[in-house]
Amino acid sequence: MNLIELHILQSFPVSCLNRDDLGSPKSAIFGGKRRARISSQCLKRAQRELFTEYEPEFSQGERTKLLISAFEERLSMRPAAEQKMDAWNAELSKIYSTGKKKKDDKKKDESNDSLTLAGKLAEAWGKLDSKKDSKDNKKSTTLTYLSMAEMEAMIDAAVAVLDDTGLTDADKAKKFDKGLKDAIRSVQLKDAADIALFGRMIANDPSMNVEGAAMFTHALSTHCSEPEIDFYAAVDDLQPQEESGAGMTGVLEFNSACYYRYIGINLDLLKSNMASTGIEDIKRIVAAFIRSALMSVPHARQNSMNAATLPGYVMGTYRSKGHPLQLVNAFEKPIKQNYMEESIKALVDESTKLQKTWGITPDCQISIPEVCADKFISELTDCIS
Amino acid sequence: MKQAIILHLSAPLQSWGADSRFEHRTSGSAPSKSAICGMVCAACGAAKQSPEESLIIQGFSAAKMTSYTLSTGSILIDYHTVQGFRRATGKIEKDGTAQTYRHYWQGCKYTVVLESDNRAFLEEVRQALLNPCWGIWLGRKNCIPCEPIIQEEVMSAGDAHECARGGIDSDSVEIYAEVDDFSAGTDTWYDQPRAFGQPDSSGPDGRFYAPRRIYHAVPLKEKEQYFQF
Repeated sequence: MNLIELHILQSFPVSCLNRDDLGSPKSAIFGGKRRARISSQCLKRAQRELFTEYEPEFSQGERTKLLISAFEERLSMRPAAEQKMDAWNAELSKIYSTGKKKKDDKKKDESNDSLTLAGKLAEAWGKLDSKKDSKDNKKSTTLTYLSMAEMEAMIDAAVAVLDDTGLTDADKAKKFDKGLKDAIRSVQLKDAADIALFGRMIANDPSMNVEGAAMFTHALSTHCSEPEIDFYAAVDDLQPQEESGAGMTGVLEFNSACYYRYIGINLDLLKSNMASTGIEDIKRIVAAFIRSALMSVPHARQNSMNAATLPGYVMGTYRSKGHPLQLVNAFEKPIKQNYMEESIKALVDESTKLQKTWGITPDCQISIPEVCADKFISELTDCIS
Repeated sequence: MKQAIILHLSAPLQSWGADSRFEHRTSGSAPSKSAICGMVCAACGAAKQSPEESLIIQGFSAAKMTSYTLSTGSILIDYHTVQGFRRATGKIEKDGTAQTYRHYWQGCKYTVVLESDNRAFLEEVRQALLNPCWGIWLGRKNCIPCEPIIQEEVMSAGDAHECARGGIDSDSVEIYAEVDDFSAGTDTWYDQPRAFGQPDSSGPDGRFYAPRRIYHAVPLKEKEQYFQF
């Protein structure tokens, strides 16, 4: 595959960026010794949020339960909507009410709300909650990630069926449902690069899943790391002077570590996920992805520990052949001292060793801080064709 | 004569799910044949229910797979929260967060020997793993390999088994061998893939596995560790 890989070394001081169910920093055993760990899901989320800030135009994917209002807004932007909205809703009620028993009508009255066009479009993504929320909005049962292009394609398909005078009601109902599903699949995510990169899983309908083009490992520390305990006492401001003792005491766990992170981007899969996107836009998307990979930090405990650092070393490669390969074996024997400096040496040695042994020289290899971030990103994205 | 290829499976975290669903996502103690078959399908870019996938599944049915545990590690349980998940009743949970506990083997290294009479099939698998179409990983997407998976050419089955043990003699390495004869085996695993389910699906529907007879042997030294008297 055509593959860009980022091998990142980043040091974080006193912090607890990713916790387990007991509030301890996550860890793993590697090379027989305990290492600090940040899970891939934690890193992905922090990066995805930053990515959407860098490229809002390409992150039109919205993750929401308020699908009906989202669709209502999209529909209202159609020029024909003003005159035809009522006609469309009426047509919809007609084709879906065929075959319903009369005695169920009373119960159905409540769910008649869902027989608006916006409601039916929202339902195609998942079940709607029968109760409304506090603001009198009807919501879907799960957070759904969908792009504007998908919504537009669905509206096109829906309106085409409703306006078609040559079909019977029963045929229309069938065509309507199928048309929506086909519309979603055909759109190819033109404007939701975040979905194309980070993936999507829809529990209700697995056919709408998207395999993300980016692959992340769990970050592991290059050295042994044990969690430390911060014993804290909180003073009560209004406590009378005569009384001694803290208002509250507790313990929090934290650690400090130099992490190795690996991120791979399957460029072939990215291009096929966004098949209707031009190559210059793909380069722009990958550039934003790389930048967000280097700049993002998970948010946990940032108010109290502010572990805001940038990577100390990044090796970027572009390969046109091969499978993703992480360089973590450089640290199988834990680094003992001068963590960042020694880790960089070990990483470069491991990379050279693998390339020599297996004949897997990359087409392009570049590293920070030998070059600045802008040049690093442009050299790698220039390889994309 | 039977030919074989060797797959080197090495990564800080690996997970070979066998029979768990819902919240506790455990791992089997060795790579499953279905996982390796799926990895090869991804390497070939064979979509679910495509003719390419059928051919690969058939090739694997006719092949025998044995795994050697060159380095035994321990289990890591990763705490991972999820929203919009499916309950045991089949319903999708509206609000709320599920807490999942995902098991990984840490510090494990396996070699897998795939034997077959069909040399062309083995060559195809080897080429696909050298330059895969889709991403390949050791169980879960975050289990990126840290060694190339293919390091040797196609060779005779006898040579492959010796090479896969990495110089360790056969009494000292843990083995999970596929056997034809029921009485020669010690366990039955349901990991002979027949179908991988619906296209674009990650769910359990439409997946079928047939039984595979396994002979499992643990080196004497480790047996003493397992059973402490």
